[in-house]
Amino acid sequence: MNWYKVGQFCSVFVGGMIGGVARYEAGLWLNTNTFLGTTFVNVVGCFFLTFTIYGLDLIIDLPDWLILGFGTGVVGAFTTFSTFVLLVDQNMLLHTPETIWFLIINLVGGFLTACLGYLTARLMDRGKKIW
Amino acid sequence: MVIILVAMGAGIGAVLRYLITLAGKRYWPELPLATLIINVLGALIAGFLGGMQLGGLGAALLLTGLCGGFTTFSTFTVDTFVLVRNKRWSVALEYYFGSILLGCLAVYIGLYLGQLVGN
Repeated sequence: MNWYKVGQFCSVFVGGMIGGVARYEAGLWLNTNTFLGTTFVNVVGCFFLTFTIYGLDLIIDLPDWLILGFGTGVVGAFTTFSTFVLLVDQNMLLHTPETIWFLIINLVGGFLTACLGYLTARLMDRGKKIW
Repeated sequence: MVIILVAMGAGIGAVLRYLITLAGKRYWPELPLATLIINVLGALIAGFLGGMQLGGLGAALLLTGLCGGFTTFSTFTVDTFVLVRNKRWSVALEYYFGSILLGCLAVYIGLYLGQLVGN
């Protein structure tokens, strides 16, 4: 048995559990089944994923399993595409303006925070090894 | 109890996503097709469960947990960011808007199938 691979899968599993519960709690905090909870997790998650890929991975010397568990596990499970498109489909005819804003804010906001995560990582890269 | 089910579902969903991502890196290293497959498949299942009017603990495990943990908005956005950064503009646009269109279509099909099974 390849214990290194087993460790990677365990890291993703535990990270996924943490990310899923954090998303659920964020939904409760911002009212479940509204656009707000999904928008919050998606926009915040995009920042953390580019920051993890370009910042944590390249600047701070952390073990691979921790980077994988945080990026693929925690952040991947924290954001959700299925709830996003489900909300769009279920609300497009009933609440058209709100749904279009939800779509735009998630797509544009997610992309912008992803850029922000990248820029933050690049700024940190100039300082190198801050931890 | 709900939190435990959400955690279990999301953990399993994340591992399944990781498996498909590994296969994607092997077969389509230049394109983010694995994320597209993950998100469209997850949208189809979420639509199906929504159409069945699944609620309570089942929804916590399968909808909030499994589908939420399996699909990923962040990787979808970061894949697009990487395509833009590599100046693959047309692929980035096709991927970004194609994922949304296919995801919405998958939810519609899922909702329809779920209502058929649920009734």
